[in-house]
Amino acid sequence: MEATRARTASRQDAFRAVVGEVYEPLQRYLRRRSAPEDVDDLLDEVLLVVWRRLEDVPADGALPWAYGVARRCLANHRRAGQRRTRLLQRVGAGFREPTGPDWTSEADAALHRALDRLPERDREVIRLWAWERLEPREIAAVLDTTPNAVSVRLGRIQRRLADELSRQDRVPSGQERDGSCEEHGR
Amino acid sequence: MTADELRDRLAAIDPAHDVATEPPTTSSSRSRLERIMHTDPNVTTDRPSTPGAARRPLLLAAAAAVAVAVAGGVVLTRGGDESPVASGPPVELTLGASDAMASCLPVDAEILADMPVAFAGTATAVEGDTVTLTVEEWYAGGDAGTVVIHAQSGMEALIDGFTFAEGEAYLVSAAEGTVSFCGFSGPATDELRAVYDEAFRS
Repeated sequence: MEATRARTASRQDAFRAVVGEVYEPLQRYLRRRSAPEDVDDLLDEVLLVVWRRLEDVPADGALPWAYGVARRCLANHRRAGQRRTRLLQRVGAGFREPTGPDWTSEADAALHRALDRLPERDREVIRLWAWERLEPREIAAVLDTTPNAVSVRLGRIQRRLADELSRQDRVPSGQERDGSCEEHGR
Repeated sequence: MTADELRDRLAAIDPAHDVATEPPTTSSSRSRLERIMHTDPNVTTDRPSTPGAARRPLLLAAAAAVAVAVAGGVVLTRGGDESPVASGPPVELTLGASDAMASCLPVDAEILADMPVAFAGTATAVEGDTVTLTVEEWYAGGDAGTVVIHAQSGMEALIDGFTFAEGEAYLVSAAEGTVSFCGFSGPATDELRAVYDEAFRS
């Protein structure tokens, strides 16, 4: 009985230690990827998994591991959300997709559009790098892949985004430039 | 543009840039953590030991759909006239909203193995609120040839993100009188079949 109680107490301590590390970063992670009103429930979901799978939490990488759990929670949440959207559209209920912040400048809006154009996995890699400030090795842990694959992918996405932004910066707004001839023969 | 410059540009559009977070030390955070720590970490039914009081179900996602389905109940009845081997009383199951708890976890053979009812079948008729499946294989809990799933009248039968289509194969499991969805039931993909095989055949 005493031993059971001691085990429970030590498990709770271990949980609190992990929570201390991941609690606030997880709120930001979820806030970046879901509607504000869903963050609380999603956080509950993630923490419950952390509690149940405490033994699986890597000692030197609790945060990327927790992001990985959150990512799966979000994917499930999103799948079910798409279902709800279709259902509400069918019954004619007013439903609006959650919107992001108001973009204050055309440059920010352009960057946002460039992000939107990325395939989902690329977008997640760049967000984990820019917003969560993770290293390729940590991004690999979130996405369950290798650091090398992340580095290659990250480099490619960075070049693509930087190109798009420089092009955007050069083109006066509302004017599209066809650079294809210029690009050729270089 | 250097990588650092790009990162700065991206940081400027970070949706959580000026969002306040709650530290784990506030009283509401502490009560949240206490609540979680009072759930049994070894449960295999994917719900807190005190559902309802413990937390709101997450499945806001399919809230509209689930609300209707729960109101009518989803009844999975074993047997049917055509059933070649129907025996014993029908098994009745309801669709519980708190099953959304399962939505968080990747489908796990260990959890699936605890489901008392599991089968592979093909949808032979989908008529509004009723889906009839011809059972190809029982993994657990039955021997009937036909399974009928009833949903609320006027609704197509739906279980978290997929609908039943005639001629398509599905894997369906249920526990504690409840159809398990959130990945534990769904179209019979090779991936899901492998998990079923691992859960019930190994």
